[in-house]
Amino acid sequence: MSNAWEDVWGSDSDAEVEQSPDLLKLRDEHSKRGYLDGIVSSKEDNLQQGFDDGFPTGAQLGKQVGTIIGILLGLQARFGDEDEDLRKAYINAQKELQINKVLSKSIFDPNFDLHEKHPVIIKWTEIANVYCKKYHVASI
Amino acid sequence: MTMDFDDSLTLEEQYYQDGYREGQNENLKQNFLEGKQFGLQVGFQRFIILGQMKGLCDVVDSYNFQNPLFEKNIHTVRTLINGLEMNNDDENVIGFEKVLVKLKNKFRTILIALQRLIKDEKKKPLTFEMFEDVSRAIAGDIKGFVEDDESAKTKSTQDQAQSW
Repeated sequence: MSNAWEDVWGSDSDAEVEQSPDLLKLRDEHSKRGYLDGIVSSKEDNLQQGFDDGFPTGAQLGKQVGTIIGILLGLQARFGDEDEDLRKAYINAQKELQINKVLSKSIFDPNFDLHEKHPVIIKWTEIANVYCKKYHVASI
Repeated sequence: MTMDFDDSLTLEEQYYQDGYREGQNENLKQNFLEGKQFGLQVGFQRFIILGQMKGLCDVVDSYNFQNPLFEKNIHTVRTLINGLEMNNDDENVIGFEKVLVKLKNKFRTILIALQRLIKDEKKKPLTFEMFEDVSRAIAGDIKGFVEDDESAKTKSTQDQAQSW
């Protein structure tokens, strides 16, 4: 909140310095009142647009994660008893591909856009493909 | 600088309007981003199980059982998944729910048939309930879903869905 206030209300031009203190006070007072009214004016607006904008990316990531998990799950169900590495890979994939890790803010830009391929999904696609090759499954 | 009373009132109004627009824009931007976070999350949750089905079909397909019914069911599951649009348009949301019911039923039969085909291997059977539990464990627990900081505010899916 404090940053937002500074952005909006901080001095941002030399011209202001030349304005009278009374005028600055008048501006601050009424602008702040307007800002507060403005910020509560459109409570629900844009939520749906944002939702629709984020949904396809989330769907794509979910499907990719699911495919990796489905492959490792299927393989470990049949070969896991004899392949300890596969068993461990499946357990680790479930941890590293958790929704809160895949949708971590640190991977997205401030507007929640993804500009490059998802690093965690790239990593696990490669690992899953190693086992696909080993057990003659079509690679992802 | 000197101002008469009318000038002062006009200025007050102008400053108020400037502030109002600023606040309104800020709010719209925050709303959009909040909605987008939720859209990312719900999209992920809806499609993870479809990816899982696809991945498992790829694995069982490689077993090459030479069973026409089994192969047909796998083909149907793949076709249904590939036909789903990945957006939140109204008609797609309704279509998604219908297709998901079909997919789950078809996939259950694949898992049952799979157990029969590999029963000699004495493996622990993979049930659809176990299969669903896996997606739920990965995508269901979404407290503070895009927050890196654990102390960040937490919301359950239900809370968010209710506020939607």
